[in-house]
Amino acid sequence: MMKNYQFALIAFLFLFGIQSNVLAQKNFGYYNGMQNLPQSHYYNPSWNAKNKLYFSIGTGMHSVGISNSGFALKDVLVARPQDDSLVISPAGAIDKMARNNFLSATAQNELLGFGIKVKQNYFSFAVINRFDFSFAYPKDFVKLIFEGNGGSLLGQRANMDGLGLNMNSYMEYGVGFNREFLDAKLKVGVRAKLLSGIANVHTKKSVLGLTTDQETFDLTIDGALDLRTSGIPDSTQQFDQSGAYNFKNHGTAFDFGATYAVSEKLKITASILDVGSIKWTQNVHNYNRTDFTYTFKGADINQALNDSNYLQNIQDTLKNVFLLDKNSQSYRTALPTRIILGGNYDINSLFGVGAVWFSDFANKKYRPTLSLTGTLHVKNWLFVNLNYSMTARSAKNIGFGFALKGLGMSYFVATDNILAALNPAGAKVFHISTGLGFCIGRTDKDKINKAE
Amino acid sequence: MENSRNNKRIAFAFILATLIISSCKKLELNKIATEAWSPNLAVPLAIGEFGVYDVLSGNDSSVLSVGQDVSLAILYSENKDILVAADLIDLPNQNFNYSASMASYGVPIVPSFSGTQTVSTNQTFSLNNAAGGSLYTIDFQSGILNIDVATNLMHSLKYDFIFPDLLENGIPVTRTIDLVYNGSTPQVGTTTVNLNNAILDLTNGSGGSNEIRVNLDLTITGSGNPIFGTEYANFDLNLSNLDFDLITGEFSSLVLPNAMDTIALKLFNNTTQGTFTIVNPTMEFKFGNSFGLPVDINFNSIKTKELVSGAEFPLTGFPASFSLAQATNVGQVATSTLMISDQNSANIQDILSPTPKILIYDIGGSIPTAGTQFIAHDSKINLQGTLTLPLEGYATGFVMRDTIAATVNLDNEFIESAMIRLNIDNGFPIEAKVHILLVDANYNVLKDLTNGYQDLIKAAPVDGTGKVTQSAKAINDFTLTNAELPTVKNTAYIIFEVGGQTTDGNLGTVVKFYDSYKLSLRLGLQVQGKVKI
Repeated sequence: MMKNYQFALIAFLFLFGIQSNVLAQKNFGYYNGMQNLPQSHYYNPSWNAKNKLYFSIGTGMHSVGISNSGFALKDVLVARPQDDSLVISPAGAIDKMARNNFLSATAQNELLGFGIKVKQNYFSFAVINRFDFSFAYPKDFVKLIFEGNGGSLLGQRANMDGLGLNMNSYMEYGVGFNREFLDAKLKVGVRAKLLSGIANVHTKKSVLGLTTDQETFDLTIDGALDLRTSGIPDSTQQFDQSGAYNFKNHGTAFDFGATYAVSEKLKITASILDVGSIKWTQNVHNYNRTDFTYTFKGADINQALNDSNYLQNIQDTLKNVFLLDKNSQSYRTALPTRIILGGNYDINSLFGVGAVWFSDFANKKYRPTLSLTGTLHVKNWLFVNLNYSMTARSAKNIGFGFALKGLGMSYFVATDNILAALNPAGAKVFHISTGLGFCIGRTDKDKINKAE
Repeated sequence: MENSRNNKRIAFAFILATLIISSCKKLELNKIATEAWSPNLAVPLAIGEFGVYDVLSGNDSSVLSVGQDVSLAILYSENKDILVAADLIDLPNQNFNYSASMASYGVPIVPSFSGTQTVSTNQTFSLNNAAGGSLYTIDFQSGILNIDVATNLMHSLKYDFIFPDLLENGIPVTRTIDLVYNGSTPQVGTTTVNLNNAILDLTNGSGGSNEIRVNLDLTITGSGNPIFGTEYANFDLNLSNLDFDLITGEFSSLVLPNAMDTIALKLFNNTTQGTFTIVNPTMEFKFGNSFGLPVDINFNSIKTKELVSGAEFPLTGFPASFSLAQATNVGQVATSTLMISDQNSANIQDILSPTPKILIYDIGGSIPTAGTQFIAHDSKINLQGTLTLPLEGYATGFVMRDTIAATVNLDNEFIESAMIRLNIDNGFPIEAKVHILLVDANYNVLKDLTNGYQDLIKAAPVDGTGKVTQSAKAINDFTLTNAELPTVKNTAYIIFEVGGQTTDGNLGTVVKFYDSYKLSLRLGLQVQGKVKI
């Protein structure tokens, strides 16, 4: 059943062509636990604050995160039996790696936020700075560095396909709208976003293999590269930040969200975020190498004896093998679209549980995350959230968050892995989000609840 | 109330779970110790493919020849002029003089002579031919004839010389020396004949040899003084710097000098032991004779020699005497060939089996009587000796040793150990066990790389005709440990000791070499690194 479900998701994503090589920000503790916050709108456009009006200038939401799917620090630093000193053990890290691994960083900063509730409608506007970075490192790439080609890689192809860097930095100018239907059982929302790209690195194609012949040690290197960059200054240029507002690298994107109350206690939610793309035209430098294969069998004794330029010829050949074609053609990159499905069940008026299924893609690879949440509505002014996530091939992620509301303001802190703060060496994922906004006026429903 | 209690329980559970999980052992990052990064790198160093020509031929006299069946033979050849004209005949400087009184000339004795009188004499001189032989004619390439005259006659005297057999442009040479009396004696005079292109007939008109004729007329012009009859009138003929274009004569009395030549057998250069059995070796002696005379060649000896031990292996049962044809015209070369094989010798295979280093042949000869003969200035007898070793046969127990200057510097702080891999795919019907030693400048062994003899080259199998059917592959690794790396840094030479045989040579299996045979060599290096991190 689960396999069918995953297949459906994958098929859906491919149908919409929404793929990206950049991992997006995903603070799992944020989704189910903070639905009543104004900033929850960014995770599911059908959500909004319970206040009439929300605004913030520069403080509304700041979220940063880092994850490494390959290994945790404790995997590479192991205690030496004789004196409990820590020694670097690349083998420990390699053992933990998948064939392809990702070191990712993300940041999302709301510069301006505004939202207003008008009857069953909610309107919002936000300016958000987005940054996503991902370095994809195949297991064999790390193996090659630490073990060399004469160890376990001898006689086989060190598969470094997919090795690459992806980075996306852009400004998002978004307007949002949601509305209640079916006596507020169903809420549907959408955010439309104009994007202005600042800088991008996009490894569209990266094939790299090194095969060492087991008997002769012949080295065969094969590969291909299609690397595209925009807004990355070379040694003669300075970083140009005008991309944040000049829309020369322009794009559009949409967020969709829906919430359906199956019963008073059970709600199911869904959102699709960042469906869109950016066309990069400013300061573009593309590097391309078509498929190649080159085998080095050693210096040819016969030629070396007869040709005094032989070694120079080898150098020239190697240069040509790795010679990159360059161009400045504009290109388009898709945003890292995410699909989030969730469900909440309020056990009582104070405590609820939930589950969330995150789906995103990196390097055309489906990367799911399952998060289980528990939410404690301690007081009207205090919410506490605890969540457990399985992500990045790690099942040791316990998140924690709380939100405070009062005096016309709301403040929250949420992390998807509080253990990372307590034991950084064991963490593979860590995101933290915080924000302070002004919330003015209560909704009619709140007033009714209050009166009751 | 109940809800509140539940909530407190849940909150407590949250906190407890968090504390339990966070109590997991944490890393103390200040305890990170230095450790080594130890990558293992494998790289190909060199590749080479060597054919028969690379292996067997070099920059010496050897040549590989391809037979009709594409099988190979190795030819060692030496070319030498064993006799040149100057070895046979030499024209030395020589002097002929004639001294006679006036009375001998038939001049009358008178108290006072004021008239004119002419007297004559004809003289014949014998040419000094130190080398021997009867010379009939000499076409001079160069030479000088000086004529000196002297008299104490108190009158003027004119010498008129005629050389009837010495022709300049077809005309007999004449010279006159006029001595005018001026009151003092003796009177002397001289003249010169340049012999360039002159032709001298030494037959004294016909039938003779080695003789030069001179006719002299003396004319006396009186001065009024007396003639006593005892006054002399002499002349000297001096021949010097003589060289010839052509000499005719009869030279059977000339003695030919002995000639010796050697052919280096590179095939066995580095072989110190072993036995080679080569099928159908041949020796060819090809003479080119541009003398106009026949020569009977006599081989004093033909033998092979092992230079270190000095052992010699003489060839026996071969035709020792051999007549060379003669050139019939000047400039012509008459070729005569003597082929020695196992058909006309007793032990040609045997003298090659002990891996000798040189072939030596010692030749003498004589000139039979055969009428008029000629020797031109550039006449010679050239001998091209060729030893043909068909690369067919078998060899056993051969041992070779070679030393090459080399450096092996793998001593590096980042190298823990190194392994050199030799990968040989051998298409030759030869197997070799190799012992490789790394030695310093004083030939002290630093490392026995192969730990004794190793089968580095495996023999390619052959079919019934001796032809290789497929190549044979051998991979050998030579390891240098961390402790050995600083030592082998002092390597100055690498000594190769090779023991081998042809495919199943110990069973007498005959193998045959073809020019399609190849030996592929691959050299790789695997290094265990150690980098402190």
